[in-house]
Amino acid sequence: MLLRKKLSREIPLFVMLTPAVVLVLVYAYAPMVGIVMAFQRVLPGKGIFGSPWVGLDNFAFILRMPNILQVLWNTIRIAGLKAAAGVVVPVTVALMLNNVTSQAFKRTVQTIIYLPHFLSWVILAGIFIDILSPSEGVVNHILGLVGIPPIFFLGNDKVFPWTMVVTDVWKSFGFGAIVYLAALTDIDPTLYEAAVMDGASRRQQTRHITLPGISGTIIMLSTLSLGNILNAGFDQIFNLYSPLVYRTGDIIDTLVYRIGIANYQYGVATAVGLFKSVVSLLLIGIAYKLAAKWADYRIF
Amino acid sequence: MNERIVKLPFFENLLNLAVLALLGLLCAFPIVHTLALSFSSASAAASGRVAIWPVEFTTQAYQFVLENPAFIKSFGISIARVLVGAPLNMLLTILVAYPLSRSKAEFRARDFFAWFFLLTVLFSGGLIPWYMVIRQTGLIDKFWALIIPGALPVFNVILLANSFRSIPKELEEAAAMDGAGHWTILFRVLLPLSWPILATLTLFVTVAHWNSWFDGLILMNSPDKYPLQSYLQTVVINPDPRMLTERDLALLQLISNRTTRAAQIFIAMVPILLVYPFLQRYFTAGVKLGAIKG
Amino acid sequence: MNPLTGKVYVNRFIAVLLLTMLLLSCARPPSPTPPPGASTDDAFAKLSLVVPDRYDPPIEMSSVMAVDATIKFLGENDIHNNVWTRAYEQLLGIKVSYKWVVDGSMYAQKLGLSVNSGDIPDMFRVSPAQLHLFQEAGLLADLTDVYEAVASPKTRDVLMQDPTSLKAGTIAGRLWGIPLTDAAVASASLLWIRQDWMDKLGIAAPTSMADVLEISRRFITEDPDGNNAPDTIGLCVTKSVWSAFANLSGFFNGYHAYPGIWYERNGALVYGSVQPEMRDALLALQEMYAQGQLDREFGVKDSNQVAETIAQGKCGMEFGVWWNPYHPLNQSQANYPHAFWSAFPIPSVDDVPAKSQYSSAVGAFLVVRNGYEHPEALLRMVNFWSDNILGSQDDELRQTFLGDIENPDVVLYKYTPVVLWEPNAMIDGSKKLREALAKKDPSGLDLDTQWRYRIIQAYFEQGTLEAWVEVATNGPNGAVTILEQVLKDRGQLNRFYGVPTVTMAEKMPTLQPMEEEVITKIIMGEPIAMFDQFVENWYRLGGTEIVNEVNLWAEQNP
Repeated sequence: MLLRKKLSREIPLFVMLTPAVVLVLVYAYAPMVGIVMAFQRVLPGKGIFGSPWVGLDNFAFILRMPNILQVLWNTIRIAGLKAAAGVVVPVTVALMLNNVTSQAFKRTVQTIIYLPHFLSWVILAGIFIDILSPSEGVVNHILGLVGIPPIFFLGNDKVFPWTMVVTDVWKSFGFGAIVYLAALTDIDPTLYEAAVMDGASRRQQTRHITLPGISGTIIMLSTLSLGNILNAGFDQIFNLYSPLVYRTGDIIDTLVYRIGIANYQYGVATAVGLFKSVVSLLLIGIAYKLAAKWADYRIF
Repeated sequence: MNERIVKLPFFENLLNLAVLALLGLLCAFPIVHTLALSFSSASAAASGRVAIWPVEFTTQAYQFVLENPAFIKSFGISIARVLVGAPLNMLLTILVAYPLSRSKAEFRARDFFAWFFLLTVLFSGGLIPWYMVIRQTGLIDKFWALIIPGALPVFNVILLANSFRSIPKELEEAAAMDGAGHWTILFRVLLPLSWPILATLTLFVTVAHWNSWFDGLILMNSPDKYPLQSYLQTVVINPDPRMLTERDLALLQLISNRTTRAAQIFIAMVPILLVYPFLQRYFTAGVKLGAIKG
Repeated sequence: MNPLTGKVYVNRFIAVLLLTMLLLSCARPPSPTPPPGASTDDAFAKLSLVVPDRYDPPIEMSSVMAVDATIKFLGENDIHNNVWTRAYEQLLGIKVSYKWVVDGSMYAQKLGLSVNSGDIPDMFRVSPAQLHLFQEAGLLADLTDVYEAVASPKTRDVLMQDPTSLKAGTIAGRLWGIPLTDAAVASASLLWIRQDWMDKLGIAAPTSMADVLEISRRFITEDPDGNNAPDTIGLCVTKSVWSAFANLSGFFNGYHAYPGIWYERNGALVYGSVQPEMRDALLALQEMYAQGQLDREFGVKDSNQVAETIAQGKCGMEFGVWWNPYHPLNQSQANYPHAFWSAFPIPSVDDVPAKSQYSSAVGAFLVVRNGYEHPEALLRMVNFWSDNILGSQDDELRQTFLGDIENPDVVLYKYTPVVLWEPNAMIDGSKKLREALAKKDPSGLDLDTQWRYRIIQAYFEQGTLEAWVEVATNGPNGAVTILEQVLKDRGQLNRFYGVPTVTMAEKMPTLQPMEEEVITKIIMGEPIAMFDQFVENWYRLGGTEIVNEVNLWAEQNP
């Protein structure tokens, strides 16, 4: 009786989910059958069920590529740094914006900093090559004023990964800050009122109310960003890298690109994708457990 | 609203403003540069003489772009795409986020469905099967191919569910006492309290629809059905001179020199620039407080 | 783009270009032709056409098309209904319908998706890699017999002019794809120098690589642009060794090194990038870089950035292909209207004349779906093209099928996938043009060549500065005359024109960046020992197998 009542109480929830579940089954789960291509030599026209099986050959193909470990490391390094900076910078900026009292200033800055999100890397690459040039670029010009010798941001393989991280953050932090700004509004204003009563300074408010208030969002977004730990940003790197920085700048996606979708190595491309997915799933799963255990926070 | 909050000390406040202003300048540069390019003469742009101010001012690039029927047509398709796609995205997001925001006691299959949706973000079968399914469902070359397959933005669902959970339980319980069902709680209690996040997600889906180009290129069977960004992709991407004839190069120089590219990019940004301030009103704090008290 | 498969698609249809629009006012020819507009059904009746047998009743043929953003239609025409679809239907009895039309950048991907999901057109264009893959999967019709039975003498001639063309379309002795031919020699590197700078400094044409180095030195030290600032660059290069302009391969050729291609040495094919001749060239470039003759940041600059440098008027010299004046060298006039580039054969470092490296121009094939009832229909379409269009002197015919002077931006042949160019035509046409120039008599030239004639005349007689572009390419001593020498005995043809071998596919994606990295870094100052190390690594990391595979391939494809 109780069970039935509980079930009937749940029925609307299933109703709500139905359209999305159907959609996802058709357009996301049905195509997943294609994962088997990672274990096939995909012949055009033979389809997923007609192509010959090759076991782990496609994975072996990837592992046999010279430098594969270096490339893997480059990918993780760049993607990891981007993920970390992609949390820290937007949160900081959101907090800073939150401290601004002038609404006009706040909105203006907010509007401007999210604009770079809309420029493609093809366009930005042209601009960055200009402004980061060691001889003529405005950035090095400014560094020169404070006595720092010119830095070849795009041509020095020690600096290149950092250049990628910084330019990526530059492009996306304004957009990222929007989520945190929204999360800030979820904080119960009575908490601030109480704090003000207790004489808490603005900085204390930030530490004891604001940050804990958005920590859920931070944990959640950081965890989700683990899903991209093997995606270091193809468009950006492809448009900005050069022979000078292959050593530290070549990533899985640029390597796969050179293997050539045009050469129809669908099996290899699928194998790479599957590898990325498994790694992402593991990392997200671990983060999920850790968050539940340590922060007592359920991510989703 | 800010009266109830202590202000930063004067110096810190100044520093705060200065840093933000500097960030603003850094982000404004490429936009201003693009704008300046779009109003400069082609030769000034080609030789890299344009920084942040138009050189040899002209509106030729805009005339050229706006007279191009392909640009106008794809612009219209993109608008339609946003107007149809974004509301559908939001509806599905809300309908999925609500069940997922319930407690395990309220909805026992919650975890199952959470992972059910999350896995689709992580795993994909690649392009071929995706294309085949879209073809089997009859969407190839149809406007709806740009809308339906990606109608559920899972990332947004997670954000919204999370936001729902942060809303004080007492409100829902009070409503439930009055006999409200799930639909009532969702639409009468939760949604009115969620404007900031809803505005954010609306912005996300609008931008996502506006900016996607790959699906248009691959799913449409003729260029006159491309949305704007797909069209721009065919013009703005760096043409590989080795793939083109001498004649193509000259023609491409005409339609795709730096000034017309800049003009097209800029025009393409305008709708988003218009939408943002409108949604921005909802990002301000304090909405929830008012709702609870009222 | 893989340099082994990346091809230079430069066709031979006339560059009437913007230049034409520009010259329309000053050099309009007596136009006997009425404005063509949208072709009507009787448009074909007036023309004297060689038409193969007509299918009666008409047959259906599905195909697919790649277009680019420059495609334009007049009047009611569109890609599904235009002069070519009407000609195929009315004259040949072939109703061509396009399953899809996609931007060229997506063609390969869309074709792959479409074929893999079981949607295969009756006739379509494929890349070399696709040809082999689709053939292996049994998707293609064997064209050997229909070729023998149907191909017209002219078609055979076009396909035979470059002996590698048909071979590239042949797998295991059978023909599976009709090669879309073009002039291989168009990809040969030449030396382009700012002639106005040479004149100003009193420099003679370079006869040796030592001269090249000297010119480069003087271009940066003697202020050739006269602005009293040391802002010029001796030799412009991009970060890619194989770019179509501002490349390094031309420089290497001067040292008898041929990076990125396969050529015969001591009876076997070798890979140019790991040959000892590379060393001296690298050392010379290193020296030039150290002296500031190259862009200090060339290592990160792609062709767009270098085009910008050229537009700024800072470049003095570059190695590139014959059509470079059309792009990007024409841009140096943006700031210096008197800028003028001349082409020179690649000079040699010693007494042995240098050879320009070049590669086969066949980058695509036309194929027919296995099971299509009329595989010969493709050959009839090819015949229609080669019998009527190629080498035609009939202006009206060319205007109907290719495009006319009134609308230089409407290129009609972009509406059909069946487009082949005569490998020899560029050289022949240019020869006729120069003869006409010498006689000052353009009669007997086809319409396109007449236009080139007028453009060149405009340069010499009316001082139309922009016309230098045509002078530098097709004029007396223009770039094409150098290509003639390249074809004769001054060229090094890439002997490998197959699809990547097994080990190549596996290792080249990493070996090639390694190669570019080493070349760039040595030029920028790393010790030359790095090259020896690279050669050793190259062989160790798969190069040895690749060399064996390529030689095995060569045995099977003599």
